[in-house]
Amino acid sequence: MADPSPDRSTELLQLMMKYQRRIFAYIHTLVPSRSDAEDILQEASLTICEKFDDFEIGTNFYSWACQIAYWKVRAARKKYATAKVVFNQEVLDVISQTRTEMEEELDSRHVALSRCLHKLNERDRRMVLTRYESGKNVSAAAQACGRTVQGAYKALNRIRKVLFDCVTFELATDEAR
Amino acid sequence: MNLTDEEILEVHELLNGLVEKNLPPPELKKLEKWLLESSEARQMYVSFMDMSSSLAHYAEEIISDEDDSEEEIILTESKTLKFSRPFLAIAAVLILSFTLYNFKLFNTAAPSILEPSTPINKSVEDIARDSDSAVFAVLTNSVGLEWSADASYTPSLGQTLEKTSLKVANGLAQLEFIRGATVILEGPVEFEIQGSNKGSLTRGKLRANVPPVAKGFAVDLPRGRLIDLGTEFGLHVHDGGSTEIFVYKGKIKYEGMSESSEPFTREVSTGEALFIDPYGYPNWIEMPSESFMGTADLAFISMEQSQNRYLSWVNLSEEIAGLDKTLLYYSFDNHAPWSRTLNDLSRNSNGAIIGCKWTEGRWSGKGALGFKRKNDQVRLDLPDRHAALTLGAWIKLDELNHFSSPIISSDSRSNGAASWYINPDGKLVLELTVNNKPERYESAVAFRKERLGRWMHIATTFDPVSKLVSHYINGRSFSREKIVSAIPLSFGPSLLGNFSKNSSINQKRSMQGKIDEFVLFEQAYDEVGIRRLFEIGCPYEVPNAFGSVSP
Repeated sequence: MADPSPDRSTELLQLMMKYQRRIFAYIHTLVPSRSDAEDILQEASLTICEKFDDFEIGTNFYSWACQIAYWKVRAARKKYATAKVVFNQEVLDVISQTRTEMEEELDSRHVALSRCLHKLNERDRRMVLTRYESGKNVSAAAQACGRTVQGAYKALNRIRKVLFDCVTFELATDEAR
Repeated sequence: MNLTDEEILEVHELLNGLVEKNLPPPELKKLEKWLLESSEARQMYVSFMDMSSSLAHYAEEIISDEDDSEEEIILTESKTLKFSRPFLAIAAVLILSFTLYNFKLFNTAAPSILEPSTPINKSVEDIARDSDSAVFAVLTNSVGLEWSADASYTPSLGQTLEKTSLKVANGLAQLEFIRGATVILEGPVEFEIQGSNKGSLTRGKLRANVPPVAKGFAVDLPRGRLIDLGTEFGLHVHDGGSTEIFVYKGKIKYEGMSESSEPFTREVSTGEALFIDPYGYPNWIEMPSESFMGTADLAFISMEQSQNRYLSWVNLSEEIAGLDKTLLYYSFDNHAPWSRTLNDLSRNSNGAIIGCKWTEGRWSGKGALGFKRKNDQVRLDLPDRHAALTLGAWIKLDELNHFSSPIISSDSRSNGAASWYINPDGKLVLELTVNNKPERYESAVAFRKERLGRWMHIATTFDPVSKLVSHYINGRSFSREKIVSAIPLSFGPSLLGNFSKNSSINQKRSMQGKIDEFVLFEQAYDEVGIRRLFEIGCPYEVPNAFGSVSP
C-alpha cells in the first residue's frame, strides 16, 4: 500500500468535506437513530481513509463511499445485534435502492428545506433546530421553548409534517415554474 | 400501490415515532411492512429521514455561524477547512487516520469490512413476534393529559395499548381494559398495563370501575396486591410506597406482606378505607386523604372542554366576519328554527333557504342546515370576480351512494364560474367553466366510508401566484394541482348544497348531509391559515395541534 501523498490527502479531505452530509444522510436513512448513524459514519470514514487508495479519481466518490457505508451498516447489524440498526436486511435493501433512485430529488429537497425553515415562525424554528442540535433531544427543545415535553413532542410532529409538506410544495412549485 | 390520505398520515405518525425512538415493536413491524410493500411509503420514508439529516445539518450550521472560532481545523499552513460541528469528531478521525496512515500504522492489511456479513440470528421481526403483542386496553378519554418527560411511550387518544408503562405528569387519562374494567389515572401517576384485567400502580392515584364481567381485576401495589370482587374503588400510592384504598361500592380483597414478612388479607367493603403504611402494615382509616376523579367527573370536565372549544370558535367566527378578505360567511349559528334566511356575517349576501331543515351542528346548541330532499338548497348571489380564492366548510356527509355532493354550485356559464363539490368517488373537486367546458381540479380520494357521518373540515384554495389549486382535509394539505387557466373566479347566482340547472353535473339531488359553516375569502390561505380554521373549529380534541402558531 503506497503512502498517500499530501495532495491525495487533501483530495480525500475535500471529497469528504463535499460529501460528508450526503454520506451521513445515506447512513441515517438506513439507521434511524442519529447517534447510531453518527457512530457508523465515524467507522465508515475510517474505512474510507484506509481504502482510499482503491478509489479511482474521477469516478463517483459518493457512490463508492456509500458502498462502504452500506456494508458498515450491515456489519453493525451483526456486531451490535439490532441495537444500532432497527430494520431487517430486506427492508435495508429496498430503502437503499429507493434512496439511490432519489438522490437528485433529495438534493433539491435539502435546498428547499432551508427556504421552508425560514417560513416557520420563530418559536417553531427554534424548537425544531434545538431538537436537531447534536446531543439535544425533545426535552432540551421543550426547555428552550418553554413547553412541556409532551407539548414539544406534539409540536415537533406537527412542525416536521409542515416542513415535509412545504418542501414537497416547493418542489412542485419549482417544477411548475 | 398509492397511499390514501389516512395511510400517509399513518406513515407520518410512524416516522415521527421512529425518529423520536418511541415506536413500539408492533408499530415498527407495521412500518417495515409499508416499506416493503409500497414504493410511495419508501419514498416518503427516504425523504423524511433525509429531512432529518438536513435538519441536523442546518441546526449545526446555525451554531457554526454563531461560533466560528471553535470549528476551524487548520489542515495546512495555507488551507483552512471548516467543519460543521457534528462532523468535528469525524474530521478528527480523518486527520488522525491520515497521520497514522503516514506513519504506516495501517500498513498491514486491516481486516476488511467490505465483505458481506451473515444476517444476525434474531431479526426485529422475531423480537416483535416474541413480545406479547396482545391488546389489553384502549385510551378512551383524556383531559389536560401531559405525559411525563421520561415517559417511554405516549399513546394518543383512541390508541390500543399492549403491555406498557404509562407515566402521566398531569391531567386525566381514562383506560378501558378489554375485559371491561375502566380506570381513570390522575397525574402525576405511574401505571403499568400488565394484562387484559390487571395492572400495577407504583405511584399516584387511580379510580377503577369494575363491572361484574371483569370481576377479578387486579392491581399490584408496592406492598401487596388488590383483587377486585366486583366494585368501584380508588387507590393512591404515595411517594415512599404507602397506599390508600377506598371502596365506593362493592368489595375488594387486599393481599399484603408486611416488612416482617407476615402475609395477610383484608377485605374492604363499600364506604371503607384502608391505609397500608410504607412498611406494609394495614390500618383502617375513615376517609382517603384526597378524592378520586370518577367517570362522571371526567364526563363533566369533557363537556366543559367542549363548551370552551365552542367559545373559542365563537371568537374565531367573529374574527372571520370582520376580516376584509372575507367575501361570504355563513356561520349557521343563531338562527331561529323557522328562519328561511341564511345570514351572511360579512357582506350581507344573505341566502334564501329552500327546503332544508335546521338541525344541530358541531356543538350542542349550534345550528346547521340539513340537506336531504332533492330540491333542498340555499340560493345566493355573489356578483364579483376574484383572482384568488379560499373556500372552506364544515360538513357532515351521510352518504355518497354514487352521487356527487354539491357544496356550492354556480348557475352561471360564464368564464370562471365556479362549483365546489365532492364527486361520487369521494374526491373534493373545484370546477371552473372555461370556454363553456368544465375544468376540474380533483383531490385524491378524501371521503371514504369511515369519514361519512363525521364532521369534517374541507377547504380549497385557488392561488394564481403559485399557480396551484390546493385541497385540504381537516386542516391538512391533501393534494395540489397546477392551474390550467388562471382566470378570475366567480359565482354569480349560486346554490349551496345543490347543483344548479346549468351545472355540468346532471344530477337532481342535493347533498345528503349537513353544512354548519361556509366561508369564502378573496385570498388563497396557506396551510397554517387553513389549519387554524380547522383546529379552532374542530368539535373534537385535535391531535398534534399547531399550538404555537399565531393567527
